[in-house]
Amino acid sequence: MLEQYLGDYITVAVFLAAGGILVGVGLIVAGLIRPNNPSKVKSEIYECGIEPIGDGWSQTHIRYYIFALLFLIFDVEAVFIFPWALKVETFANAGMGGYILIEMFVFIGILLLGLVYAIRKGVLKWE
Amino acid sequence: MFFAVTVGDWLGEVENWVFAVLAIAMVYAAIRVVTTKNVVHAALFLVIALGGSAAIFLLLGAEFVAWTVVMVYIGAVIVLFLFGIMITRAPLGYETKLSHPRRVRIGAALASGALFLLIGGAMLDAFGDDPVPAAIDPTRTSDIGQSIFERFVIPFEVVSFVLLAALIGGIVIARQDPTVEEEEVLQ
Amino acid sequence: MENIAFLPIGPEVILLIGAVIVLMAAVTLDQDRRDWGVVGAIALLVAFLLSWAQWLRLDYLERGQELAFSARGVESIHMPMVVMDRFSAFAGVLIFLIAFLALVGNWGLVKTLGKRGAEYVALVLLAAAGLHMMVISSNLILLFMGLETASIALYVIAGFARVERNSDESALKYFLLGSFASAIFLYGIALVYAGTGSISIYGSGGILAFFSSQPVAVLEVGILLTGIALMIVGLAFKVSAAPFHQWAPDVYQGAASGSVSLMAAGVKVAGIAALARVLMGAFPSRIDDWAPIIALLALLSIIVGTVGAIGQGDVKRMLAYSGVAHAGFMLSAFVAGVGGIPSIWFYLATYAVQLVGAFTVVSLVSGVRSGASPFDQYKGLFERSPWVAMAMATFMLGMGGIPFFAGFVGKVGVFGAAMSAGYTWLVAAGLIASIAGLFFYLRIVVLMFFEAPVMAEAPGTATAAPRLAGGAGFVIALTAGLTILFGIIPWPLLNIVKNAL
Repeated sequence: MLEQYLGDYITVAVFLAAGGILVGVGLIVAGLIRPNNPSKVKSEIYECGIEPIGDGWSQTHIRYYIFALLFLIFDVEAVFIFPWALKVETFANAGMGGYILIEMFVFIGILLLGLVYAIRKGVLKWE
Repeated sequence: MFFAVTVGDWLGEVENWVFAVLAIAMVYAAIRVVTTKNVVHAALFLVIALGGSAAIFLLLGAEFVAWTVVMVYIGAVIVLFLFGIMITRAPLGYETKLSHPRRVRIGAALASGALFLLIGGAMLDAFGDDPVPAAIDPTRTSDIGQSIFERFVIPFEVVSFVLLAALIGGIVIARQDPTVEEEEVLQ
Repeated sequence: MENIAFLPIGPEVILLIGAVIVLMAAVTLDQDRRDWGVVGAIALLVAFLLSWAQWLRLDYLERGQELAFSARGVESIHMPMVVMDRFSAFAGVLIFLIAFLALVGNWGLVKTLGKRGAEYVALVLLAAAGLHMMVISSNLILLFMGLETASIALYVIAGFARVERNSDESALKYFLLGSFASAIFLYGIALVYAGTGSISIYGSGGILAFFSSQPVAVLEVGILLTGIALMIVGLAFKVSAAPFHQWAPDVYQGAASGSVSLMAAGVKVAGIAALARVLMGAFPSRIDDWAPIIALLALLSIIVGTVGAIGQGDVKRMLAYSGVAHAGFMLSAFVAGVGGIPSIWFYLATYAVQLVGAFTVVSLVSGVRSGASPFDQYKGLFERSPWVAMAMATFMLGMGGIPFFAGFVGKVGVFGAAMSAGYTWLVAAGLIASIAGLFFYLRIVVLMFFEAPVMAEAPGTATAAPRLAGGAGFVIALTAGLTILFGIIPWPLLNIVKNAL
């Protein structure tokens, strides 16, 4: 069992490695064959063609933090939906479809009310 | 004996090589998290440490936990960390002197070292010479689902309590609505 | 599939509904309404009645039977998640009473918070639900979830209902240290699982069954004891037992006076109850291992709390340090095992009631949203408002353990329990500390009755005469009345706690 399971993940590992090699080889080869002629303007930060103002590391607005927090909360919620989704059919076949559906609805519902609260509170407005 | 398995056997297993690479990377990253002088770099080193732990969970057959670490910790908690760092007025990107005085650092090192020895010792004492069984069943995500909805329904629903409390708390802390006196002052 | 009985988790459901109603009302209805507290109080009252109903239901089910920690309340075949026994029912009654009084006694806080009042109420309800979850869970994971729910809500409460900006520090300290303690507790659970193969306390396949089925020699003692020790550390932090108490004075002083009652009394009730559930419910057979640790914690707490409280010049800090000492007194009854539970309950119930009363007085005297509450504000309180001063004196004398106040009976109980377990040195230390403790309790009484009032700088706080009226008046009168009542005739409560196993 474990053998087969790890074998499945070898595919993942191969893809990861292939991706890494592709990018790495590309960078190395490009580094070898491109002309190297640095200047001050060239090494500036590229910001859509506009000249950068101030420091790249600057204080950001707190609303980013709220968005990140909401993302975290709903991310945790999403994680629990995966095992649920895999089991809905099994439970439904066992005659417990309503039960498993209600459990998930309660779970999502509580957080949905939290989201409604956040929206009504104006937290998600981007002013 | 803790090292009943001979070195040759140990090297013969591919899993062990993978584990060794991951473990070294994780230990390095973990040390850098606390020693780097740049808080953003500390958060990024944490990504490596967490990624390593996710990979180790995968090796152990705990698929769901591994991907949860990736999704929640690497995907969301680190983002929150970075924004948390960026909303402060701390001088970012510079090598700041964040460290406590030497005396405090030594104390902290001793305390965490003692905790490490205690827990590590207890682990070795209990499982030191037990090899991980080669043919254990990996815990697939559907097994977790079965378990959650059979036995852990109440804790599962309680997760939403925790998240709701965190949601309210985060919004309340981050948004300063005026209180009554302040409202009166404003008017 | 698990048969979900709703009576055991009824209070949680009610509190969640209450919290959601308050939140939704706050964002949909007229924003200027400020009586959010009503919904919260009703929800807490219903939860209180439900806990009471659990108690009566158990009486009906188990009349005349000896009932020690059991999982018979929930008809679950395999490793129950929640228990409904007299232990949890009594704890529920106590927690919801405390939370109710803490909310009603500080009605003013909800009103002055304006738009944030609704969030405050919702967080109080969620915190109460979390605390209750800690005492009903028979599964360590659920216990942890309850701990986290309560902790997260309380971190926020500690932080946001304040006036002083610099009290952010105390909230942050509470959050960081509290999260660390939660993590340690969780690690303890993991190690206990590694040692026993179970995270469920009762039922077949649970920890209890593990101990009764295993021959002692097979046990992996090291990992198990490390796990138990880490869990004790985590919970000792929550009940602010020394040496894990450093956060308490700062947090009590930094948080708004009106919100401290729940943080102090409610957490102490749930923390002690959860510790009792873990140690005596899951590991009664290892009592010889954990009793010395607990005795040491108790001794340290008694000494640190008493010595720390003597030097304080602020009532909230003083109460925090005395809370450390009281945690020590309660822990000293743990060494007696299950036999010590009635005396712990009596002590806990009377102490929590006194504490809520005392903090309500504090928020009357210093203002519900104040941080500090220096002694100066109490000077001459008797002249200004005799009833408040007399109530405060009652609480102080009760906590000091003067005969004819509830604290005395409680102290006799816990010391008796520790004595019966053979911890004479602990009892001796406790007696000395009790006498030394009288010093700082009586100091406040002296300040209130015999010193001239000091004109405080801030108008409207110390100079004004706090009136004993409204919700606060009700709470103070009730708690003071209970303190005296159980001091003079403790037998009804003693009879109840005798059954609360």
